[in-house]
Amino acid sequence: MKSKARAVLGAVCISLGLATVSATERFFTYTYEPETMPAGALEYEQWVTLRSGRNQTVGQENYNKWELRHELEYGATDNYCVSLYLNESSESFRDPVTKQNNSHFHFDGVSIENRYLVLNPANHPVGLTLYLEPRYAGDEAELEQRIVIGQRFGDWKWALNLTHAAEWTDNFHSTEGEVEVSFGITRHINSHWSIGLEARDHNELPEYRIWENTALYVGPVVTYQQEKWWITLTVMPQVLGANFAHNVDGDHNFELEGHERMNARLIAGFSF
Amino acid sequence: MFVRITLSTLIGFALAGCAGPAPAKDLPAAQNSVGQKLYVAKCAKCHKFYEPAKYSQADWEMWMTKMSKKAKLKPEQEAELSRYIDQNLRRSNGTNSVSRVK
Repeated sequence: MKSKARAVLGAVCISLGLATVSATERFFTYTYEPETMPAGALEYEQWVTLRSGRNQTVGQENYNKWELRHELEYGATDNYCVSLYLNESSESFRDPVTKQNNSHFHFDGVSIENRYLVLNPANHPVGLTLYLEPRYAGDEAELEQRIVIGQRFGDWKWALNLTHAAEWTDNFHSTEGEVEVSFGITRHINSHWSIGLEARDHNELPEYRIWENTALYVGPVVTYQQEKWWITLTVMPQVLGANFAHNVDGDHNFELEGHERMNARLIAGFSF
Repeated sequence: MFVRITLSTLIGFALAGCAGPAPAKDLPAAQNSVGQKLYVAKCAKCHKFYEPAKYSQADWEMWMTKMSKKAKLKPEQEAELSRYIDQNLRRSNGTNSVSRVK
């Protein structure tokens, strides 16, 4: 291509002195952004989530759960991308009654994530993406749906997700509904760093019969990016929680039966 | 109190965001609709517009190569996009003129 044409193209697609943003990066870890990958793009993402801190009232002292997700994401078209996940987790805690330490590793199955960009944030007031992710693990399964909206303004970016998930466990004899609202806002500080705030409110509805509990998490999110890779970390303590069915955890400020005192998630992406 | 302040802040941010304009919303009427579609789908979807006049030709070349590869642009798409910018954005905004870059 002639240098003139190359220069003009550079004016459009290039974020000189700022960031090589290309919709593969994620600036939040619990909240998806509406942008989808370019057609033909391929990326590997490694997820690490730590859920830490329940209490002895629920029989789980020193509770820690590590969740690992290994994701391969592909841009099928400019508006549709699909991901394959392998999921696993490791849970450990001390039973205050038996004084025994419990620890076990679990393979949580395979997920297929589908994201379709309905409204491009570039030429609409708000970007909109629809999300569908089935997961299957032999004796359990899950179907997650999200409505993802968001927009950016200069160096600022925000996103809001409305999420519902139905989970079938115990060889499909038990059902649980989950509803979540998550929000993130971040600012690109320079060509590598972005810093923001992320919040999520998670609710559990066993058998869809009762609204059992709710937990609100709020915390900082930070992203570091390079040309071929990026990494984003969110650390979110629970700031408010309640169990509406019965106060099994004995705590009036937090929900510590189905949720933890602190959640943290790190996602690292490597593009090809 | 902390929760109220946090929620108020988050809602405020969200409302402020909704009130603003979309980055590529005010593009000039497309004389080259293919080029405009490319611009919206491959460029503006992910980042804001940067003025070429602020950067040297060498920088353009370096970053253009990187971003074209990242956006998976084919050579013909690059050419189409260039034509669109040259014919439309350059006219409406002199800072986008290639001649200003050189």
